Order: sequence, then C-alpha cells, then structure tokens
Amino acid sequence: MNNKKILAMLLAGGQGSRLGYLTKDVAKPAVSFGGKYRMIDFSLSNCANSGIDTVGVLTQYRPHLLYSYLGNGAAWDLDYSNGGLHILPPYYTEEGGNWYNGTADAIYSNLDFLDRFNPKLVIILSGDHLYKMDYRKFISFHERKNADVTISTITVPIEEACRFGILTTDSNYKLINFEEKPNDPKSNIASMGIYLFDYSVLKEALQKDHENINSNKDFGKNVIPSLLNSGHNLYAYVFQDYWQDCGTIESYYNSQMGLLKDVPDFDIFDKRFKIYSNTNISPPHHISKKGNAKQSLISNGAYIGGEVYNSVISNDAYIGDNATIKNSLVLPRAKVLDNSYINYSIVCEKAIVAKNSYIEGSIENIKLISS
Amino acid sequence: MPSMTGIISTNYSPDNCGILAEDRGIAALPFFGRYRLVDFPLSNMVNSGITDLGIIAPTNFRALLDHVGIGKEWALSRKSGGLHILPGSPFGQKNLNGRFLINDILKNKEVIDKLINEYIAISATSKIFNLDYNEVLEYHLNNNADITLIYKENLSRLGPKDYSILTESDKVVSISNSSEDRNNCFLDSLIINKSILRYIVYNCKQDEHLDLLEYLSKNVTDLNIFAYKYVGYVGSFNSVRDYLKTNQQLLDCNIKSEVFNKHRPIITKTQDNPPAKYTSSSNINDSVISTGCIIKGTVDNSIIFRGVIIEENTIVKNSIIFQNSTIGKNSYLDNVVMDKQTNIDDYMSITGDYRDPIVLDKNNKYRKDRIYNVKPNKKRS
Repeated sequence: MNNKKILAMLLAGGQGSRLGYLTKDVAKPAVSFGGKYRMIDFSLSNCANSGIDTVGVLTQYRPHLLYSYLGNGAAWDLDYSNGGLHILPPYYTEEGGNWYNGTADAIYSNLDFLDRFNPKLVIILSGDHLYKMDYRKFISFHERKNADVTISTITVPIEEACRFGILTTDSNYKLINFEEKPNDPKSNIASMGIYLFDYSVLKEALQKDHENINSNKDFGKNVIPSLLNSGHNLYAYVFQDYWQDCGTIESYYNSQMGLLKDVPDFDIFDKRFKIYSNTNISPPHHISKKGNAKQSLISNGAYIGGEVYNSVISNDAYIGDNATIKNSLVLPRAKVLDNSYINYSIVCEKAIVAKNSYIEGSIENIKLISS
Repeated sequence: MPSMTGIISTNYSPDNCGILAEDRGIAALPFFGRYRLVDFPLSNMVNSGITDLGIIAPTNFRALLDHVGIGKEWALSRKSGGLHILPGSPFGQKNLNGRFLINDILKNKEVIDKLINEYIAISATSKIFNLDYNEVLEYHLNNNADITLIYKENLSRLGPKDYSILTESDKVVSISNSSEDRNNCFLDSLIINKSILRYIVYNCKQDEHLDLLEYLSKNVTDLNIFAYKYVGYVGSFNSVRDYLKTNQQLLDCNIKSEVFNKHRPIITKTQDNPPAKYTSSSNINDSVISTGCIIKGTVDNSIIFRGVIIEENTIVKNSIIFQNSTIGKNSYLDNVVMDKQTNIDDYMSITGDYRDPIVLDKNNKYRKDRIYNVKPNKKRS
C-alpha cells in the first residue's frame, strides 16, 4: 500500500458545450489558451507548484488531443515511478460499463485507483479554471480546522451569485448552508468547485451517493449537501487571488484579453510560480518588415506579416502580409491570409481566413471563426 | 536502409567567436533566439532515425550538458542506445588542424567496440543546415564507399579549420585546409564504415594530436572516399560579424523554412516561458523574438532570445540579445551582440560597426556613469 498524503483528481471529461465550435473536436481542458497553453495547464501547474506528485485525470469527451498533450505528464514534472499522472477514462467491469454519469460518479468509478495509493487527502480539481493556487495553504487550513471536507471559495458580485454554489458559514468558516445555483442567494461566497476531502469521508460519501437512485451524482448538488446534513465538518477556505472559470465564450475571451493589460489580471510572467505546458519546438516568432505588434502576446512559430493590436497570437499561427488583427484571439496553427481585417473575433485552431476577408465582431458579440 | 550510429564532435576551439564561446564552448553557442549550435547536428541525426549517439564533449562541458541533459527533448533518453556524453581530451581545444581529434575516439573506444551499427555518421557543430543522413547513406552504399564526405559548393568565409575537397567523378582526390581552390567546402559531416574508423583509430594510436581530416588528406588515395553534394542552405561563420550576419540571414522566410523544416524540425531544450508580450509603445520591424520577452521599445532587424526585457523609447537595431538580458529606457543599441543576463542602463548608446559588431560579456551591468571600452572579439585575459 502506498499511503500518499495527497492525491489530486482532475475532472477533465466535460464537453464544454457553451464554448461552441471551440470544443467541437477537443475536450474543454484541451482548448488553447493564452497563446501557448491549454486550459488544463493551470491546474496541472498548480499541482506541480504545490508538490502534488500524483494526479488522476478523468477523461471522457473527445479525449485524443488531450491524451497526446498530457503524454506521461513529464511537461508538468509529473512523471514519477511512484505516482505521477494517470489518465482515467471510463472502463468496463464484470458488471458492465458506463460513461461517467456526473462528477461524483466519475470519482466513484475510480475508487480502485484511489485505493491503490490510499491517500490521506484527495483534492478534486477542474480542468478549465484559470488561477494560481498553492494547494499547500489550502491543505494546512483543512488540517488546522480538522475538517472532513474543505471547499475553496471566492467572493463574487451578489448579482452573479446565482450562477455558483453559494455557501454560508459561521465566523469560524464552518459551513452552515450550501445551495447550488440559488435563485435567491443568501451570501456572495461562491464555491470554486475545488474540494479537499479526507479520503475516508470521500469514499463513504461516494458509496452512499452511488446507492441513492435519486441522486444526480454531482458534488455540488448531492454529495456536499448530504455530508452537511449528516453532520460532517465542512469548512470554507477563502481564496483571495484571481480565479476565473473559462466555461463560456465571453469569459474565455475576456480572461485572455486580461493577460494583455500592462498590469495583467493573471500574471503568466511570474517566475516564482511558473505555468508549465507541453510546448512545441517551433522557432521563435518572426515579425516581418511589413508587420508590427502592440499590446499583444505572440507565441513561438508564429509569422506576423501585418499589424497586430491588442490580440493573442498563438503557436504557429500565420498572419499574412498587410493583414490587420485587432482585439482578437488567433488560436494555434490558424492562418489569416493577406489583406484581411479581423476585429473582436476568435480564429479557431487550424482555421483559415481567406485573403481580403473582412470580419468584424463586437465586444458584446465576439465572432467565432471556424474553417 | 541499415541503421547508423552518430558521433558529434564538440571538442575543438571556437576560433574567432571570442568571449561568446569562450566559457560555454562552441556547441553551446546560442543561435537564432532559442537554439544552441549543437541542436542542429543533434536534430539532423535524430531526424534521420539515429537513436544511438555520442557527443564528444570539451573539457568545459557545463553549458553543453546543461543544454542536452539526458537527451529527453531529442527522445534520446533510451533503455537501449540513446545519448552518451563522451569525454574529450584537453588537447582538443588546441587542435589547429580540424574538429575531429582521432584520439578522442580512441579514448572512448569501448563505445566504438560495442557498436552494432555498421555505419557511423560523424559531425562537428559549427555549421547550420538541415540534412537527412539517410540520403547520404544511400549514396554511400551505392558507391560502396569507405567514407562519404558531405560538402557545399561555393561557401564563402572559410576559416583555418574548414577543409575543401577536390573530386573526380564524385570521388575525392584531394582534401586540404590551405589550398587556393576552396570551392567545395567540407561541411564537417561524414559517414564512415565502422571497420574503417576502427582501422584509422588504432592505426593512429601513436599520435595523440592527429585530426581525422588531417589523416584523410594524407591518405586520400588509399581510401575509397566519396563526396556528397549538399544543395540546401548552409550557415557558417568564423567571426562575430559573420555570426551576426548568419543569424540575420535566417530572417529570410525561404531560408528559415528550409532550416526549420517542419518534417525535420530542429529540436531544442524547452523552458516554459510565457509568450512574448508587446505593450502599446512597441515597434517591431523584421525581427525574431522569443518567448518570455517583454518588449516596450523598438526592435529592428534583430534576434531577441528568451526572457529579454526592452524598455520604452529604446531602440535595438541589427543586434542579437541573449537570454534574460535587460535594456533600460531611452537607450540605443546598434550592431551589438549582447551575452546573457546583461543589463544596460537607461540613456545608454552603444553602437558597433556592421563590419565589427560590439560584443558585451555576460552577467554584466553597463551603467551610464562609466566609460566602456568594449572591443569585439577580445578574449578575457
């Protein structure tokens, strides 16, 4: 028996249907972000920067790009012989097989995997959040409070609270009430969907939830409320840094535009907390005689023949001569050919914009350009 | 096609690159934003299917080893074969006659004796090109050759360690590093049969200072040596001026896409830097800029390595800036090659001549209240 102190389970199976064409071919955690990253990099980098050496990645929807991107986890320093990165797709047993039916069911189906490492604590993460968090602080809070479960939270504007799981706590951060997406929110303390469990509590709760045929097999809707009702010690950890769920086109676009500010919302240049990624091996990007770039992020392998302003140009993207890119995201390997004009748009991976195109979105209506 | 084993020789003096290669050795000389020179022969061999490969290291191997590590990026961290770092002799740096000290191979004869592959690809690490060794091997086999030397026609700017060859119907009849007729430049790359290499190595046991090319030039008639004409781009330099020029040549899109061929990519160590960031005050003209840079000023006809910061109202022209250097506000740099982790203060002007670029040493701070007498190509005493 392995007896790990902490093991991370990363939920990466979601389709991300609200991201439209961006997730047509790839799972949400594999969607390109910030020029050279993919969504899952942020949670995996947090693990690497927090000394977590064993991570199970639960996959389901369109996993192939995600699998090849993850590889053996070496890109995030997660290639360990005793632990490391494990990809956990749905599987078949003597009783039959099913797709993962909810977040709780996905973890329940992999209790065998967890038993092999027999961790003291299990942290449940999502593959589509933009944040930098040292989980060690979260863990020491959990231990200090002697909690069974700790939920990581942020404060949100009260008018947005109805989109989140909303917590009420006592002055000691002990959870009193939890409501998933309430119509009439009682507070503005929102769950980030990041949970830290004592493994024994998690295992028992998942087994009970599995037997409950009325359950939606969801952490927020079922597991957390039932643990609260059964008198367990649940605590709220207040995370005070930047956190963003990038599940909609709007938040996906805005959070990347936030990287371009002189003082960015989310600092990818912080050397003390590096964001790791499975980087490509293209040459550095080239801005040609006719090209120029302002207020932008540009990645390796890109060629800039035109003007780029307030935009993110990803790996191996091509901007043709005299093209203009403004307020836009150009994703990996996309091509915008000569003399085109693009404003307030997202050019999807490998999409090609023909010569002399004129595409104008607006801040309220970001255009999604597929090939 | 039979498999090959690779040997890359890096144990020789970098000649005229001055302080740029003095500490780090020629193999670890930075090139084109994110590469080191050893990436080119190493990637060429790996892309040709070579999975068993030795690098003969110079005595100052720290920078080289820091870069190649266990060869993970090149997929050379193998259970069978993979990357071997072979110690070179201290004489390598003093070898005036070439880039392949025979004694270095003899010293590592255990590796040669164990070789399973019949054919050995050997390369030095001074020239920039993208080559498929399989094409050379096919030519080598068709000619039933002992040795095939790879050459390029009409390559200018040759140094004292560059050999030229004369051929008669593809067969090499003369090899020389001093003759007048230097039309066909040997690219420091060859394929040799294991038995011949072994014969040469043991035959030259007595002479510790003999170079492989020196030996071949003396014994050219006794051996069956063929010449393979490489027709692609070759970047080569024997001075800081030409080093700067070769980097700038790669700004030409045709040359760039030929050297950084998508099917035979040049592989290098990755570093997990964020993309380069440009602010509203940046202006860029015909330049290559690497990840992790923050550019607030103007960059023109230059190569900027990883993690460089260029502040507002600063102009960097016709220059190469190595990694993690910073250039303050309102400064002006023209024809400068600036080594890594070097800081330039605000309001400084450093102007070199295109025939004689200024080299700034690494880990230095250049402050505006001091006078600098910076000479290019000058070795530290």
